[in-house]
Amino acid sequence: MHCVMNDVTRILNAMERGDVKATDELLPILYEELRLLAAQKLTKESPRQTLQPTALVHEAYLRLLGDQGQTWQSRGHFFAAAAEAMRRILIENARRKHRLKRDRNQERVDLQDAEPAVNGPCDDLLALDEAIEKLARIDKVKADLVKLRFFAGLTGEQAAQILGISHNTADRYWAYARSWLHVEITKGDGSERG
Amino acid sequence: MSDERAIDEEAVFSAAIAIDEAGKQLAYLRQACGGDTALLARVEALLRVHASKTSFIERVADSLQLTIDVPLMVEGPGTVIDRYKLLEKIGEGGMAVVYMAEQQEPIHRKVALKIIKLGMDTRQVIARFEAERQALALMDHPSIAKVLDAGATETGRPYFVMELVTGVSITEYCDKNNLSTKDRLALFLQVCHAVQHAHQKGIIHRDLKPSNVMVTHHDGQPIPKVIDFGIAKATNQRLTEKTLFTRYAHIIGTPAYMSPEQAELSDLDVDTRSDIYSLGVLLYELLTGTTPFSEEDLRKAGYIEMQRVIREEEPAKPSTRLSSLGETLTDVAKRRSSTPDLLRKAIRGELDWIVMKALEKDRTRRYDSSSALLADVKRYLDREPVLAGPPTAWYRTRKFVQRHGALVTVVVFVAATVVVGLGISMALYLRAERARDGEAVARAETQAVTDFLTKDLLASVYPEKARNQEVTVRYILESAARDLDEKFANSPLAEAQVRETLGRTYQKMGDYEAAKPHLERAWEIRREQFGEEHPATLASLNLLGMLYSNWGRYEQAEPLLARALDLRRRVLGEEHPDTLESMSDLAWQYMCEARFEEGMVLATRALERGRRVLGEEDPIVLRAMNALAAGYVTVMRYAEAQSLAGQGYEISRRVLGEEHETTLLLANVLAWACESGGRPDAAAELAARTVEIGRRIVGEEHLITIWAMSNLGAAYLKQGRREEAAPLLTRAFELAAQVGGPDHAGTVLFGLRLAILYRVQERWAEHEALLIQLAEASRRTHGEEHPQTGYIKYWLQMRIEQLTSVYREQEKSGDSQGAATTFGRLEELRRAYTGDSETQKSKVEGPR
Repeated sequence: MHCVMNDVTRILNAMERGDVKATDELLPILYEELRLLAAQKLTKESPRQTLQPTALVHEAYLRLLGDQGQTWQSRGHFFAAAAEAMRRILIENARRKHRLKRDRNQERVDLQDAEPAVNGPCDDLLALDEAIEKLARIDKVKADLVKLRFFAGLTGEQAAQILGISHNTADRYWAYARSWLHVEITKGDGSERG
Repeated sequence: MSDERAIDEEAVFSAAIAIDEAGKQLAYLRQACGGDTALLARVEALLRVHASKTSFIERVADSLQLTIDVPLMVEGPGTVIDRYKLLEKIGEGGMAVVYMAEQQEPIHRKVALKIIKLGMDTRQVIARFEAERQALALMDHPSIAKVLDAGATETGRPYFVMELVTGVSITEYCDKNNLSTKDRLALFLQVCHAVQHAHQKGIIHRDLKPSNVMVTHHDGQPIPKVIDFGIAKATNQRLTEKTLFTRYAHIIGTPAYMSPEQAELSDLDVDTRSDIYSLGVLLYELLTGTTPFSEEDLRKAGYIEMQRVIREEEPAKPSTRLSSLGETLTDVAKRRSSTPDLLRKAIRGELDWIVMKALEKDRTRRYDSSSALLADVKRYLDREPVLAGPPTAWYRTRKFVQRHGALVTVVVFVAATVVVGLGISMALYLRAERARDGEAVARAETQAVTDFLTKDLLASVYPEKARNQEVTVRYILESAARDLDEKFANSPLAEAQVRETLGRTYQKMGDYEAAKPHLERAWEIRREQFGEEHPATLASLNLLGMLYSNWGRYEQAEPLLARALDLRRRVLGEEHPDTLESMSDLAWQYMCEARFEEGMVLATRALERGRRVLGEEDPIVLRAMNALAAGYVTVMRYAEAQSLAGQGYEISRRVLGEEHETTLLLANVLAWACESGGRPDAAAELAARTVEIGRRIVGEEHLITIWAMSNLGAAYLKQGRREEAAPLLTRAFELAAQVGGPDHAGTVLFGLRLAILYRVQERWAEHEALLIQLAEASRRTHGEEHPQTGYIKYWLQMRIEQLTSVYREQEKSGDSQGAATTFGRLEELRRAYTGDSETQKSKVEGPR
């Protein structure tokens, strides 16, 4: 009935059947969808407006899949891809800000952060991302859990369902990953923050 | 850090956080780490983070907000982009900004430069533009603004260079200059021309809308210019490219002008007919000042709902839309140098059809080219029959009449039906004649009728004949009917045929008096020619009976109908369709006389036989169902009424279609049965649908639509939605009185519903006056014993009781003046109750 929706649904179905290639199709769709959603909001409404990335992911979900009874498995595929898409968008964004800050000649385009601190949010995000990647190399499930919660805005329980682990396990993993990431990022700092 | 250690570390950490007490936790850590101080330090660091509310991740999450790469528009007047220098901004939309710019070389000229706002893949946009560039270059039309160039700005946004058009959008131009509908159509024709030209070169516009059709002046003449050809396609991406950008770009654009297949978003499927649709929307807007679906509603509806509306919902016809504009209509009409009535009249019919054909959901049913649309609009302007709409004989005849310059009145329509009616009945009759008397006689009869049609009927409206006379149906019919017996001296059967048709037409117009002599004479001729019991004679007899029945002259109707049934039974047999028709008609007659027992027995029999002999799907059977179901409602057997009308409705909808008259009649009876039988929700749903279809198919001033409106109002009233019920009930009553007359059974029924609304709203003066009026009307139409009169008397009684206690109160409290007034009102109500209001009766116009 609805083409974009059909696309996404079709890809999700293919993924459920084990079609690995389908994953490659989903990511760019979600990437564009999210970017566009954000762009639409940022241009239509006040450019100073703040967007919650995770809220955006959920909005994209509703727009693309609606209320049709999706299985948890396909929701899982969706959110995993959406988390990754959102991660890329945020990282690109942070990198650009980072570059702009260094480049004094260029006017800042859309920086909204008032903090002049060296470790402003964009640098923090890049650091966090690096740490998550490092975690992924050691323990992929925990890194995925972090991505689902952090980039896709899922609750621990939702993420647990998607990852196929128990709620308790997910909580335990989260506690560890959260602490681990903090220690990892701040270990060169000399001072622990937080 | 090795994997093994990480696991150890995690195990110790997880175990430690499960221990609440700090001392025990520390003891556990010492024991678990043994002598590994590095591990101990690390787990302790992790635990410290764990204990704090905000770790690094929460901090980032809190500060995280999304800004996205939407480069600011840095271009402005003075900026040089490639060979172009921006001069001033001349337009801005959701997607793009347009500048007037100066081109330096190779030629010095002013152009329009359009910069696309949103970030999109500039390279692809330009590549797509290049791909179509040659085709675009082939376009050469005064009403097409050329697209000259495309490129990328420094900030990487695509831009397009076009011929500079100074002017305003076509809708704005028309409104500003109060252009009449005719002038608007003339402009629209030029737009069609331009689009046709592009289509011939293989270019589809894809984004036709008023802001893309500018009007400029050339030698004092307005010239529409279609801009942006090729741009929609260039900024469009294909589905196969797996990006959603386009789809949103479109939606960010203009959903109101988007064709269903574009709403489908499968770009592969867009062809020239999508432009036809958009032209249809444009025409709709030029005529009515609104788009078929409001832009605002579409946006509000959200993405998926919006697509559904565009793909599935049937918009209101332009004339219907005008009617629903309310107060705005005056302004809309003024902008078209017209009045609300004239404007509606001008648009109703052909222009409705043309627009609706362009707006067909299924593009194979649209005009297949812009030139076909153009030709039809031109036909309308030249007063030739248009292709759109029902291409029936009566419609063409009307056009023929119109072209010959006669004063055109809506009633001329009916005149045309005479011609068609004759045509059909003649064909049937001649078939019978041929079998009886052979070719020669048949040919003579045909000739007589043809002469009559062309020399008398149609000739009567030729200007030279109708000089200075207002041409009305009556005039046409009268001049046609003059000296009929002389004209047909040698072919009496043809005379009978013509008279029967004239009689039917008068009857349809509600002029029973005028119909009578023709139908009587037709019967007489057939009796003389065929004999008393010939099927054709009996058909005449039945028709005459139905005339009296519809006329309300029940004493005369009943014996004729009974005799027709009797003879048909004997001559044709119990199960002949004619016999069954007679049964149905007589049953209806009995119901009208409140002889429900007999009526229902007969209707039931007609129904049973009809079902068996003709099958359930035969129109005669459906009419019998309708009669019987209506009877059931009148005697309050609502469950049976609902079941029967429901059945009939379903069959009729399936066999004859949802928009067929019989289906609509059954829908009304069904809604009535539901409303009376305690199912107001079902009634409201069905009635709302019937109102919608009725307005679209037969117009608001048709009893079918009026009935549905009243049903809807009554259902709302039962649902407690008084505010919504009031306008419907009021309008239905007014229209019924206007269309059917004050004594019409429908007027009485709809009036009673309105009276009940007044009661609920405690508008007592209106309540009483209406009840009194209705009691008289119902007595005249139905008689004292009819349930309808009974219901009205019931409500009179209720009010009388109420007022009586008011009267007593007033007397008790010494308010003698108030008591006197109340007494007067009571007297009036009592008179209405007993029917003792001879004085009143003579004041009201009696039946015609």
